[in-house]
Amino acid sequence: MSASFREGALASIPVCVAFFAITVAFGIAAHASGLAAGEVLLMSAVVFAGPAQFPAIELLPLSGQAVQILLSTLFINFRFAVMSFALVPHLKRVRTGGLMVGAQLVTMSTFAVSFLRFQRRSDHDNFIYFLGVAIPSYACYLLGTVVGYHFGVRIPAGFDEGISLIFPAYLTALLAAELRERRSIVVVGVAFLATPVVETLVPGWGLILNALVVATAAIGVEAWWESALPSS
Amino acid sequence: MGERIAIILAMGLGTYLLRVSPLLFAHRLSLGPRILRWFQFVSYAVIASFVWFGLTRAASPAGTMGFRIIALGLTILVAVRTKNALLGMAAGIAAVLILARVGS
Repeated sequence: MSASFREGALASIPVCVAFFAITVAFGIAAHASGLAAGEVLLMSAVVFAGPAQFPAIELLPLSGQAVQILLSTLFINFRFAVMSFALVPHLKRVRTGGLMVGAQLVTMSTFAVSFLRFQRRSDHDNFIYFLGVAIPSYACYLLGTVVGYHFGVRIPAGFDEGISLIFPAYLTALLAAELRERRSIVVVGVAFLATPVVETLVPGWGLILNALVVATAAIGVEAWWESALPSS
Repeated sequence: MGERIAIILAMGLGTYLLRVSPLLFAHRLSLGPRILRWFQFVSYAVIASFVWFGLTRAASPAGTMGFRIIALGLTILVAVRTKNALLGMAAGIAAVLILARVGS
């Protein structure tokens, strides 16, 4: 096992914990919706995106919902295109076959861990590092789905609040531990505060649209600031 | 059963195309520093948006939102001080569990 893969696998531990908890919840909900075990596991394997899977398990048992399920999946998962674009500069040396396999493993968390590491240190082993993060995470995702479906029907009520906080707490901790540059911290703060406003204005698109607007505004302000500095 | 499997496979295919298309068709593009900076900001902003999404999506009693915000504050504090995301996450989750017990 290469050092980069090992480094990625170590960094994936919080992702695994979060994925396991999230997919246990997903497995429980899918079981309650009346889906078959094979359908639930197949969905986790091929979609690998919790925010799109939870709405789908509500709609799948109903008839005539195919178009709505597919459109909502595409809208919710559009963020993956943005994430893949952001990874492009860091995966330039990877062959097409590797990219085609690795693409399936791009998620919010695997992207966040890898991208933040690439900001700190980007080298020829980027893809191996990404696989080190993504493969254990994928395994935990599938394992959590199976455990949730078969064994996790009864979770003590007192733990619901903790389980539901795993996902945001993990991303928050990741940003807090990694971000040092003041402008990036401002972008994160503004994006967080603006999300409910944009999501209310454009339901279903708020997360992506908000990120695009905030980032574009930040670039504009930064360019203006840099051009204004010499004359001030 | 067959229709459901087809829908699930179509969900997977659509999601996969969103993931793979930029990697296949954009990786030979030469991107300027401003574009790269924009991608960096977009990525941070998406993550921040997801924090908000994750914070609010769970159907919790209204009173627990305050606990969750306090817990995320503690998460930030611990993660910044220790530079360890796992410790920060653990501190936040422990905090919300304790606050929920105390507050109920």
